[in-house]
Amino acid sequence: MKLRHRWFPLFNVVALAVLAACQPAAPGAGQSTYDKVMAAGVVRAGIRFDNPPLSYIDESGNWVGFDVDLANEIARRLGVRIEQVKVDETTRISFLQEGKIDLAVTSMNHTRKRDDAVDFSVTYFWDNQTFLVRQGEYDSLQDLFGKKVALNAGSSAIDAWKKYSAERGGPAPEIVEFTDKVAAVQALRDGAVEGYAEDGVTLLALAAGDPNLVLLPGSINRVQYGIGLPVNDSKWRDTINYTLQELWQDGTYRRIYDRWLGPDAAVTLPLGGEMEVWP
Amino acid sequence: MTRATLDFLWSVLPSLLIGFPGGRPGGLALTLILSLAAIGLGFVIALGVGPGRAAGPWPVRAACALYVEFFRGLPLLLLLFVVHVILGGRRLGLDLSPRASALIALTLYASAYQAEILRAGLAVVPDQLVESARLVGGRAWQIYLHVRLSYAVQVMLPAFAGQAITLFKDSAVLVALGVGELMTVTRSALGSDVRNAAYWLPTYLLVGGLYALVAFAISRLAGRLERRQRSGDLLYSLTNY
Repeated sequence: MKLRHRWFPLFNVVALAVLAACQPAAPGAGQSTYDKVMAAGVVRAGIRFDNPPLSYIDESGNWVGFDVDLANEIARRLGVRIEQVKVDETTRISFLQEGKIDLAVTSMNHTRKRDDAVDFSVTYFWDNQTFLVRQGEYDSLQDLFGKKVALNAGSSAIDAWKKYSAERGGPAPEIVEFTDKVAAVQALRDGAVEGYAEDGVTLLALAAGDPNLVLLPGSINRVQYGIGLPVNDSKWRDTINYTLQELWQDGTYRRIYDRWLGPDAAVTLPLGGEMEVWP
Repeated sequence: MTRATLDFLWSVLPSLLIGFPGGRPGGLALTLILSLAAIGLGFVIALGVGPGRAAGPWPVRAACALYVEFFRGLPLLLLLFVVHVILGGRRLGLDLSPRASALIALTLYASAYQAEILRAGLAVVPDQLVESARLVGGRAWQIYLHVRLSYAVQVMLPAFAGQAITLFKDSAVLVALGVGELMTVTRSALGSDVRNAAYWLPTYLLVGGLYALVAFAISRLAGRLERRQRSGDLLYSLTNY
């Protein structure tokens, strides 16, 4: 027994390798997600729960926000019940790959890197990424080159900032990754980091709530949110795209947008683009 | 601490303790339910695996050893993802909910540790005790259940309590699946408004206090149980006469 013990750590490695080899679940094997959703009468939507004003849980425990309304409306149009699944920046892609969710309405920027793992709908939200800094310390994005900055783990801003900085001859940036947005902002307040990059809409909300924080002008990255979908499932992707385009055409999209980001909302962001609508 | 901070903490406290209003149980209550269930179910598994590793034909010993080393060797967070995404994914048709995955992962994790504790306990049962039981006519299963096992559990009580506290605290990683337990509720409550960033530190301190409070309660409970059992223990009363 004593001798055999030495091999057990090795067994773990082998077992994990086998599990890893299973990844990802055979895509498109058999049924389309469309058929599964329609047969079950339930669509499972991955939504973030700490991303106001796009998706968050309010004081009475209701899950609300722009992404939430959009997901609900898509389910309603499909004529199925919605099951909302809590995801974050790190689980939204793996849950899609493994079929734990059918779509991810998670303020997810459409990037080529992510497109290797999942597919995306047409763009449904337009914005820019920039940095939030402490008032009066920095004036431009160039001032932050080489400084220690906070970014969200798994965010597209990580690559964008490296690229932005390298293209303009800046030194390699020092990046601290946070999985918790609130923790990142706290680090910025405390002086642990010099800036925090996020999508403009989130930063606007942050700056509105704290006079000591301001947005830097400019953009390190364009933000184009797409709904995350299982890879290689064109029937389901078509369904979602057509549904989004119908929502855009009949004005439902605009109503939802204005409710959360319109002139009367707590955070105002002018609509930054136009959805492509296929004839 | 400002008035606004206190107001915020006061307003989120009910959610932290029992979950959001109108929803299923969440917060600390769910953390406790999941931990207790995992410890209970884990102990049942450990009753088979622990003794199995200590004695039995070699295939049983090897299988039990593999079980312990595998589930003890994986970080809990990784085990959680393995259970939820791979084992509980659609591939195998199980399609587990986050709660079910959380309970299974915690149970497997707890059982591996408890099996080892039980094995250690069984190893220190005095031979004289077993022989005495045999002399007074105990059958093999009676001796096993009432003497060996009960002795092992008693001497290992502090270790079991320590494991329970560890599991309770480690359940905080369930936030990764958004299970709705204390850590998830904390993150939701703070994340409901970007302006809540100001309450980040006090809120996590409060939640840390809640975890510590329960851990302390478990520890006291175990201490009391231990003292009560000691006084009735024949060996203890003989040696401490």
